[in-house]
Amino acid sequence: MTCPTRRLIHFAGSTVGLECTGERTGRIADFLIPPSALVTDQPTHITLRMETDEATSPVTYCLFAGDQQIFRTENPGDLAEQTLSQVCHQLATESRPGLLLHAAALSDCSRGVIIPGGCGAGKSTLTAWLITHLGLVYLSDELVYFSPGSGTFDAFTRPLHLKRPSRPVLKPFFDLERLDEAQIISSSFSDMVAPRVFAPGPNPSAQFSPDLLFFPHYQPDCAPTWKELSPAEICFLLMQSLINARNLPGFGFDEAVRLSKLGRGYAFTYSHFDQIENRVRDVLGDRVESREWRVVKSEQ
Amino acid sequence: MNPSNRPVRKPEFVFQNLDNELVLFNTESLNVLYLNESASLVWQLCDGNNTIAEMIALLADAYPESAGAIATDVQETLQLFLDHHALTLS
Repeated sequence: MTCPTRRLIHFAGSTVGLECTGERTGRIADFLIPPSALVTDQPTHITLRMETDEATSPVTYCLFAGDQQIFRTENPGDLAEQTLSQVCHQLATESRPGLLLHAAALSDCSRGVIIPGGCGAGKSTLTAWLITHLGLVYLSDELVYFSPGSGTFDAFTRPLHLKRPSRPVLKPFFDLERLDEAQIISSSFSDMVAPRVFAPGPNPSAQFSPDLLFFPHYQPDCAPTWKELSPAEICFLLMQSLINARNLPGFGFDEAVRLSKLGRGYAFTYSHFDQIENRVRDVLGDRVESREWRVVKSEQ
Repeated sequence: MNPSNRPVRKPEFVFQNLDNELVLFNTESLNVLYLNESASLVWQLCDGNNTIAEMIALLADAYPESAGAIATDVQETLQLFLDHHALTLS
């Protein structure tokens, strides 16, 4: 097993370092940020460091941001979740000069589907369903970046982060209990699934056009709604998902206006995938492949 | 709100027109508002030159088929703008 001492994670004009010591934290780092992914020689604005305290029983895991300890736990899954969250947060803090959206992203070939939305909107669960049921390719469940003036986006490919209530919802399509320990890390409240579980794997350097934008709202026991959005409505919702507005000229407003005209957008409320499947298939059109999704067996 | 009040847009709000609908952006709070076509017309009349009564009369002339509802719609829309601190009344 490789045990990295330092990873440099470059995304959206921002670079974060991730260091670890020892085999336990090395395994977590390998899972969160594979050695081949998103490396750079750009200077970092902060370094996160995972450490273990082997003298305690059970072993204690700590996360530092610079010299400051920001998290301590006995659960390695909780350390992985907190580290993943901090990597995304720190990337966003210094991200410029393009728009960084809180959004999931998928693709088929060169066309992209992005799913902007805040925490709890159901982005990751919908993403898992679109991959496993409709055959789209996983790119990200958290960060999407548009370079200034560009018509394409980059996605920060990280483990798919599913909150625990997603398990029963997804079970008919994607049974997390079939995954082995190299494919999934579970924390107290969520599961993180390695991107390599999904086939075919994403190409981290690929860029995609935002052909479709989905704005989901998952709500138990609700009547479903579905609405095609106007460019102004898309712009409004994109601005609500914009993470780095304070770092951008004009707060990114002009860029959001430009992007709102590039793709078609749909807002919907649902409590079961059955309620949206036909609509989603219709707007995806010939993108939906009939291929059967498969779980990739972990590398030995 | 008095019919003789003149609503004025606050300078920290910038806006973009997209197919006759507007998106307003508050450059201080970073809050965003979406305005449909009707609300956009009201916003564009909030330039400090028109009283509320004049705005209602202008819109009733332009949309006679909706004249009965326009007074209420304009006042509700202006109240929405006030709730979002997007206007002052002079």
